[in-house]
Amino acid sequence: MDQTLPPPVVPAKKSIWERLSETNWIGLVPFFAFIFFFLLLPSSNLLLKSFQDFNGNFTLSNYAVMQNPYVIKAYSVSLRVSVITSVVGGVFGFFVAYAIVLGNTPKWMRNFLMTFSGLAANFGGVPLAFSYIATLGRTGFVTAILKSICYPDPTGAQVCPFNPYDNGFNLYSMTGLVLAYTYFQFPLMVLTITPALEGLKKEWREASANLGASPWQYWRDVALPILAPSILGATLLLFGSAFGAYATAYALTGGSIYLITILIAQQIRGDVLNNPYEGYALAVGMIVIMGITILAYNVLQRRTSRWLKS
Amino acid sequence: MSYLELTNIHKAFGTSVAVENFNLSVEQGEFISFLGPSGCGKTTTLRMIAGFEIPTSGYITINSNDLTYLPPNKRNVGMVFQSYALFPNMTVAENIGYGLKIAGKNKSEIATRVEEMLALIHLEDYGKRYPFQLSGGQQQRVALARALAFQPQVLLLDEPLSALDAKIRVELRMEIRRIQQTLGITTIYVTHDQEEALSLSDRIVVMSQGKMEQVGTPSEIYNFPATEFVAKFVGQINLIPVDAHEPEEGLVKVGSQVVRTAKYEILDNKPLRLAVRPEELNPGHLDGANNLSGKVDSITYLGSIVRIRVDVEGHPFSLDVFNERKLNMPVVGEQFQVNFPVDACWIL
Repeated sequence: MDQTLPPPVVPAKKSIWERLSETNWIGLVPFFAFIFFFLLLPSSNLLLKSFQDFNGNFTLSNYAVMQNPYVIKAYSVSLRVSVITSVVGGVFGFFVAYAIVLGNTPKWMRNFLMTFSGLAANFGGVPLAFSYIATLGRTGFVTAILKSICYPDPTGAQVCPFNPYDNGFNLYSMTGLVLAYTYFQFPLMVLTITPALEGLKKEWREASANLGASPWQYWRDVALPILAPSILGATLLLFGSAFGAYATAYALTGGSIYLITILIAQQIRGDVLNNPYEGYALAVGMIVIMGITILAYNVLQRRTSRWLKS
Repeated sequence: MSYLELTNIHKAFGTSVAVENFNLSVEQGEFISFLGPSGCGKTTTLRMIAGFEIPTSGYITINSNDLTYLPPNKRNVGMVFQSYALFPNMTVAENIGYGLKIAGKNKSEIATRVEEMLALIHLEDYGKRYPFQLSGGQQQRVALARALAFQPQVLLLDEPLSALDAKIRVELRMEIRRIQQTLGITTIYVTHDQEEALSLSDRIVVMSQGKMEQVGTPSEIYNFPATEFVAKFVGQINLIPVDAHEPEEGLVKVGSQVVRTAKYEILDNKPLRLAVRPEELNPGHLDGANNLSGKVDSITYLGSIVRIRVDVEGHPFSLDVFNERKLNMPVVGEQFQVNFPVDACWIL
């Protein structure tokens, strides 16, 4: 019986564009190389060395430093500064973002605030510390202006009541540190929370009003629960940013405020303390705290994206 | 006085006029559709009833109570949005019960009402689900139940079916009509879909450029369009430029061929147009009817209907015939005769 076989299936030749699109992942190579060399490798090295003594032998004794009252205090101060600045920066940043997105702010003002936030969120470290010293330090120009505002009291004597340093303010203290950190914390909050605020649909507000809810009830029952994971996630990001900061605090306070980052630097640099292996153990402690922060951030983000995927 | 009254409503956004001289009386339990193209002012009018926009002038009353300047949360008017607008952080039951919770009803009362509403929309087992776990059609049914749960005076629907696919749209519009009739609730429905408006409404308000073009029952709107806009917007229509022949006798000329219609007047040299729906035209010659002769220009299959375009001395007439397998189709270019009843055409 005659049987005509169908022609063999020849795979269609792929166009150059199809072949290029299959290799698009190559674009990620520099990123993964960067992550490997500047995050994974140093972190693994840190972890390994935190379990070594000066002779390279395995030891757990480096972690005994965690019981040292100075170390506990340094962690506690770092945590306190991070919590305060993340909450202050978070609240302030939220209201700025609210004004940008929902406050009928003119477009030029929105653009200005967003550009400023992008710049300020990355303006930390020594330049920030010096700009604060130059403005609000003991001889800063804002301090000088405030100092110069004097007038005679009823007895005829000159009084200069606006000198901030006579009123308990000190830039080189925890207050100053919080102020300096807030400078880069609140713009970071603006950048992180703006997309979430933009994601609030106008129809949700209108639907709640239509069902009898006041604006306050809308925020309590609808907007804030929807935004809560984003707000908490962004605040955790601020916490992480403050917790890992070193240069701003060191340049501003010269090490007089005992932050964990400053303590680690002292241990590794060896000019004040000299046990880099204990420094590595302290750094691992920081990594654990940061890891928990990132994990919490991811969990909260996933919850929001689940709600909003409809 | 009617249940819902919109009197001399005018709305402008800066120099742009969105709604002009809008007057409408709606009886209790009536289903009214605002029909028109995008930007004709139908949604703006609906939003003024809901309180999301304030009229520039005019006033709105429900049950004789003036609510023109009342904030939206004090109006007791239910609204269904095109994008559903369900609260994503609440379950279906919480969404439906939200209006009752805000009104301070107790938990058992809310639970009972939510159950009733879920049964009404046939989603009894979906109370604990979140909106993202529902299809578009289910979400819109929940939105409808939410808007009805707190027993509003008027139900407003802003293009509620636009985001759904064709099959679900047809199912859901029947559902909406069933629920509306079951509850007897006064309803205003905004749509740009003439089929939706015609199939759902007791009366239709056709709007264009912020103005009311015509208000009437679906039959009046379709069969007796008052303006050229209504005639063109609702259904298909042949609008053919004609020459006056004997106005008193209702005669006009299509090219050299005479057509009889109702008597007409010539106003300010306004060009005359003969209006006739494609389904009123029939193939062949019929004594006592208007008969025209032309050439077949094109034939288009539209599923159950076949549209034949006939060129009558340079004027294209479309006629619709039911698609039957035995249908003897003409050939493009051949001579073709069409007829239509005298009372099926009119002059615009």
